[in-house]
Amino acid sequence: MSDAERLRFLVYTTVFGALWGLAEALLGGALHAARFPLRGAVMAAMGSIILCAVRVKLARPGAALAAGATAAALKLVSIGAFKLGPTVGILVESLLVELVLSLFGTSPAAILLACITACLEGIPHFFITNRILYGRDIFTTYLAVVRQMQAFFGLPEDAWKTLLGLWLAGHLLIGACAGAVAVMAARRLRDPHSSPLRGRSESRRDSFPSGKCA
Amino acid sequence: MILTRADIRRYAVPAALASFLAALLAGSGKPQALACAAVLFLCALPDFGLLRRSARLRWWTAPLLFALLTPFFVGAQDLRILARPYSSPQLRLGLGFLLQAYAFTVLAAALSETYCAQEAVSFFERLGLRGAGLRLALAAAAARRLGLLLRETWESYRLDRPGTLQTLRDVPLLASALARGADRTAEELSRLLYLRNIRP
Repeated sequence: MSDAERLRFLVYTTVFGALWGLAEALLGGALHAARFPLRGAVMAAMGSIILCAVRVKLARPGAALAAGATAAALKLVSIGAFKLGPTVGILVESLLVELVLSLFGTSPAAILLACITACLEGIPHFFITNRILYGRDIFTTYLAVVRQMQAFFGLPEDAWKTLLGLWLAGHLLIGACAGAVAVMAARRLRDPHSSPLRGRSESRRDSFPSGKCA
Repeated sequence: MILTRADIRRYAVPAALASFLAALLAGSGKPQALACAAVLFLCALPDFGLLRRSARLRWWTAPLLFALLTPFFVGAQDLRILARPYSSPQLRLGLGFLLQAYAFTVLAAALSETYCAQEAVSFFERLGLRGAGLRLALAAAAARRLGLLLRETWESYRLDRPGTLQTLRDVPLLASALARGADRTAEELSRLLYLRNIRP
């Protein structure tokens, strides 16, 4: 890599990482304050779109990971408190996106898979964070409380499995939506002259191949 | 040799980290409680105020209620409180959860107060990541421009989309506009830094 390319790599990954860090601070704070359900998955979705965009733009391995490291560093210093859980989450999500895009390229299917994988990170993250914070017996207590609630509301024995399935499906759905958005953003970055409105009636006019519409 | 507060912190924090890892492996019971108490003692040694700063009621109300209320529903109930059966083993378990979470919070706060961004940057540069300092400075400089970009893009996006449904439907458009904006910002900064002969 030449000096110019190295500089461009550093600046692009830093700017996109800073964009994620800022969005985390602004939207993440608002979602957290509003107790928005699946807010972790929503934040992961946003991050994965940004990571896919920078990876597509630079077309170099390590771009998503470097942008994720910048976002994690910003998250650490942004609010003052030590936000270890979200910081680790950001790093793991960027590692997953990097892995998927390095293995399968930057095709729309790979971008979709990368976003879904990043959003699913929230599930093991929840279990690992709870294990570290509260210790191994917390899950026995959670399960006992859920069983008591099931009995109280007269729900079937395995209602918690349905709830767990819905939680998983929610993460999958958010990941798939993020993937669709990331594919469009990547297309726009690959071809800056393409319209994000293409496919709608009014954009058909600008779909001539360049040089033929004069 | 007289140890300063900074020296004590430097020795105490890694020792507290080791104690926390021991608590993590020990599971519930006396070894876990002892290891957590060691974490709290070691962290409080250089700065007792750390315990107070990590004990904000806003953070601990929900876990405290969980620990105090679950014994009404879960565990072997051997007591009666407010004319309802109550489980003392479950209460002990709940307090153990709280102790471990509190020890972790105090340890994390001690870690963040011990090491500053400059030390982290020099640590990464020693590891061979030469652009770490430049990256951090650039992120701080770019954050202002990106904040403006985010606000302006969001405001013009929301201008013609008062409804939630319409706002959600056109999210791809918003993402594309933001990606293009960040792309432009990065391109401008790359050229500027290259012209000023800054090399990573």
